[in-house]
Formats: sequence, C-alpha cells, structure tokens
Amino acid sequence: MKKLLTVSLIYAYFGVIIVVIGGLRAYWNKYKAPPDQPINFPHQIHVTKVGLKCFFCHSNADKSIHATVPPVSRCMSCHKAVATDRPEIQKLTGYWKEKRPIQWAQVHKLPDFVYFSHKRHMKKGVACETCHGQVGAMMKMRRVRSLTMGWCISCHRLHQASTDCATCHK
Amino acid sequence: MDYINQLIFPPSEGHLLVARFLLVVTLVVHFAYIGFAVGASMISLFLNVVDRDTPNANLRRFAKYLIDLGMVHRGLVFFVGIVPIPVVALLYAQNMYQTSELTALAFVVALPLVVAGFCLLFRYKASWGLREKSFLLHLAPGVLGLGVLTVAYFIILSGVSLSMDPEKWPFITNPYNFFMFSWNNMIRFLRFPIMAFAVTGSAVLFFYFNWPEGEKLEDEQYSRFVRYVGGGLTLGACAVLPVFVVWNLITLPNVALSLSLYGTCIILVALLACAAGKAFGALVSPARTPGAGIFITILVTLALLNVADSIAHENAISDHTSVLLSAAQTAKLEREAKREAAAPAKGSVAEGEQVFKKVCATCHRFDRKVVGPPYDQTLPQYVGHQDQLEAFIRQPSKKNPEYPPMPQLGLRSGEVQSVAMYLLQTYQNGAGKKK
Repeated sequence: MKKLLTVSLIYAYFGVIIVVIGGLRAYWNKYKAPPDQPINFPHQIHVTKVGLKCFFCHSNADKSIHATVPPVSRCMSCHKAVATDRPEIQKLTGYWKEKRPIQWAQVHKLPDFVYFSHKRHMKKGVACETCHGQVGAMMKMRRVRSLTMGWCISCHRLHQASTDCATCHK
Repeated sequence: MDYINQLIFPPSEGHLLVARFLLVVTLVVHFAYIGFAVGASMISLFLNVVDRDTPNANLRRFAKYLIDLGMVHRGLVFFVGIVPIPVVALLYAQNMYQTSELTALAFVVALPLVVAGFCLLFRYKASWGLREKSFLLHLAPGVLGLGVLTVAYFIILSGVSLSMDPEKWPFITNPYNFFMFSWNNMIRFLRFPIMAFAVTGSAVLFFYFNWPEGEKLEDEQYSRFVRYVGGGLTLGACAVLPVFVVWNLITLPNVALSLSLYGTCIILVALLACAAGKAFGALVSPARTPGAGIFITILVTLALLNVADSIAHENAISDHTSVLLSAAQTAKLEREAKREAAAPAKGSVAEGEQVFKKVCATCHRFDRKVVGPPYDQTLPQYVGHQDQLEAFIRQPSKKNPEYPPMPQLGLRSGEVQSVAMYLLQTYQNGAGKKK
C-alpha cells in the first residue's frame, strides 16, 4: 500500500510538471508566438521572389516615426490582375470591395512609454533587417529580436548613439 | 576573429541538413559518455574520501568499480570523449557560418582541457595502488581532472547557450568571452551533473547486474549497496531534471521557442517519469534484478534532451539559416546561368508565345495597362535592340514610377530569347494591338 502510494506520488509529481509545461506552451502560443494575420501575407514571395523593396509597401519608414502598413489600394495595384484565383487574394479583394481596412496583427510592438522613430534610424543607415530580421525569407511574419531596453541600449552603445533616458522615454 | 569562418565552405541546404543531423547524433553520443565519465568520477572521488574517514569495504570497492568502469579504455575515451569535440566545433561553424564563431571556438578552446581532464582521471584510476601509501597523491589527479573537466564543460555549455541567443552575437566584442553567466547558461551547466548522475546510476544498474553476468552477484550485501546507490542516483536525478527542463523553457530567448520544443519537453518529462518509476522499482524490489530498461530509458531521455536543444538552436538561427539558403540559391542560379551562357540558347517565336501567355500576360497587354505598362508604350525603344530587351527581362529594374517594379521571372536563357523575339515581332507586325 505504502509502495503504491509512493509510486502514485512520483507519477503525480511528473504529471504536475507536464501540466506546467503545457501551461507554458499555451501561454507562449497565445502571447509570444507569431500572431495569425487576417490574410496570410507571405513576405518571402513579395520580397525575395517578386523583388519588391521594403519601401514599396512601408513607404513612410524613412519619413515618419512609423513605418506604416500599406493601404489596401497598394495591394490591389497588382492584385487586381495578379493571382486573382488564390483564396487569400480573393479575401483581399473582399476587403477592397467592401472598403474595409485590414486589421493586421501587430508583430513588432513597443510599449507606449517608448519613443521610437523609424525615420531617425533609417537616416543613420540602420538596415531594416537589424531589428526585423530576414523578413524576405519569412512566409509568416515573426519577431526575431526581443526589442527589450537592454537590446536597444547594447546597439546604441555599439554605435555610439545616445543612451540618455530621454532619448527613448520622452 | 574570423579564422574558423575562413576554414568553412558556405553551406547549401543539403549541407545544413546533414550538419544538423550529425550535430545531434554526435552530441548524444558524446554527452552520454561524458555524463557517465564525469558522474562516475565524481561519485568515485566522493566515496573514496568518505571511506578514508569512515572505512567501509563496500564504499572502497564501489569507488574503484566506478572509476574502472568510467575510464574503461583509452580508445573509447578518445573516440567518444575527445574526437566529437572538434567535430561538433566544425558542425556549429557550418550552421552559424559568417555569424558568431564563439560557439565553435568554445569547443576548440575546451578541447585541450578535456584531454588534460581525461589524462588526470586515468592517472587517478592507475594510482589506486598508491592509495594506502599517499592518499593525497592518489586523490589529487582525480580532483584536478574533475575540476579541469568542469571548467571545460562550462566553456562548452556557454558556447551552446550562446548559439541559442543570436541577439547577443553582435555585441560580444571579446572573442574569448566564454564565461557567460546568463540564467540559461547556469541552468545548462547545473543540468549537466544531474544528467551525469542519471546516466551513471542507470549505467551502474545495467553493467553491474547484467553485463557481464555472474560472479559479482554472489556478494549479496555489496549487490544491495550497488542497487541502492544506482537506483537512488537515477531516481534523484530523474526527480530534479524536470525542474531544469521547465527552468530552461522559461529562460530561453523567445526566438528559440516553438510548439515542437514544448512538445519535445513534455515527452522528455514523460520518459523521465518512466525512468523514475523503474528506478523506484529497482530500489524497493530487491528480488527482481534490474534489467536494461532503466539504462535505455535514460539514454533515450538524454538523446531527447539534445534533440530539444537542437530544436531551440535551429529556431534561434532560422533567420540566419534563411540567409545561408538564399546565398546558396543565388550561387546555384549563377552556376546555371554560366552553364547556359556557355551553350548558346536557341529561341523560337512559338516558344515565346507560350511564355507570353503563361507568364507575361498576367500583368501586360500590348494596347492597355493591366499591372504593368502597355507594350505599345515600352517596346518602341527596343526595336532593333533585342539584346537590351533580353537583358531587361533577365534583370528587371524599375523604370516608370507609376507602376510597381517588375519581378524576377526566373526564365531560362532560351525562354528569355524566345519571348523577346515574340514580343518584338508581334509589336512590329502590329498584331499586338489586337491582343
């Protein structure tokens, strides 16, 4: 009886650990994994295969603090005619016809108390890949850098940029 | 700091696949043995010291048995303890080509330390006769050997942890910065002796009771002692390891995580539960001889632990892998282009029409704008300059800001020539206006 109880306790302990890992998995999947987008937009096809430059769609990256996502009309400039038989393009056309904006899920999100200017970084010659990774190879957009303060500061130190608090926390 | 990268060929997709498979296999074999060697040496040294203070024949006998088993043969140590280290260094260098070479360098720097550590442990094994004369001279090589191996594996595991954190690579300016005191590295390092105890405990149960069979089992008291130590070590290590598995998942960079990694860890813990159940059975059922089950389960667990690390490494470097694959693809296309250039292409208008219908007509017509501009506007400049039109089709560039850039079409040389012939001929015949 005592033996059975001990064995049960041993297995229960491992069971609890499995539940904990399952919980971590669920948490990661919900909050940390690359988010699902309303349309499966493959950067790989557009950047690597078609050869579009980042600025073709994110046209404000060097003009504004936000890189901005393109309006649906930019997508439709090609997709009125290209790949119109694909389900994802038909979804896109649906948004266009109904004059609805696409609610893209934000992948690179900084906290509200951080001031970050795309324009300023572009001006200094920071490549898009430094923060966003090899987007041209991604079928599903994901975050490859932590975008934590420690990471930003390391890069600022390496390139002798300002590390004054007020630079990013205005 | 670029000397390892200079020795490495740029990898292709096939290279990377083979390199990753070999990396897992080599690490599994190496860590299975090194875990046993380190665990056996640690326990042997510990029991040896305890026996010195409170003499006990069983402790002494078991301490000698362990070091004899751990350092069983120089050839085995060479092939599974030493050779894998430079092999793994090269495989990491291949995987992380043109990025941080710190991981590969960590294995290279640790190599002489591992060799020295094993030499000292062999000295400890050989000096058993000296034990009664000078205990210190007998013990010192063992302690020193274990210390040197500890430093070596701290360096190696620092390198392994670093391979899963690409965000740190650009900021490490000291090329010999092996001593990483990150949480993740500490976990990996603390996990190492625990895994070593699990392998040692299960190996002792397997080797003592099963291989070779016979005379050892006659001493019942000693057999019971071996069973308790082997079973206790395995059970204890199996109980502690899941905590490290969870801790590792919490401290790994987000980029190294994936659903498959969590899944692998769940299977890993389930296997540890099996091993713990078997080890408990070995402890409480003296009538039953422990079989090979516990040892095999622990070896599979160790293999899975390395698979999990490999998944985390691959997740972390997937961004870099895409760069390597893209470079390999470009090199392949360049080779193919050279081959095609060597054999002059023969185009035909009929083939050009096929290509036009299949590829160009998606975006172009002769007489009206679709996605790209109408040919009637763009072709006049190429009349009499077919070579220039072919060059543009091969390598399109943005010419008119009103239209999106034309993509690379990936056509063969002959197809480019054919479609250029077809377009110019159709345009000159005026038939284009009808299309």
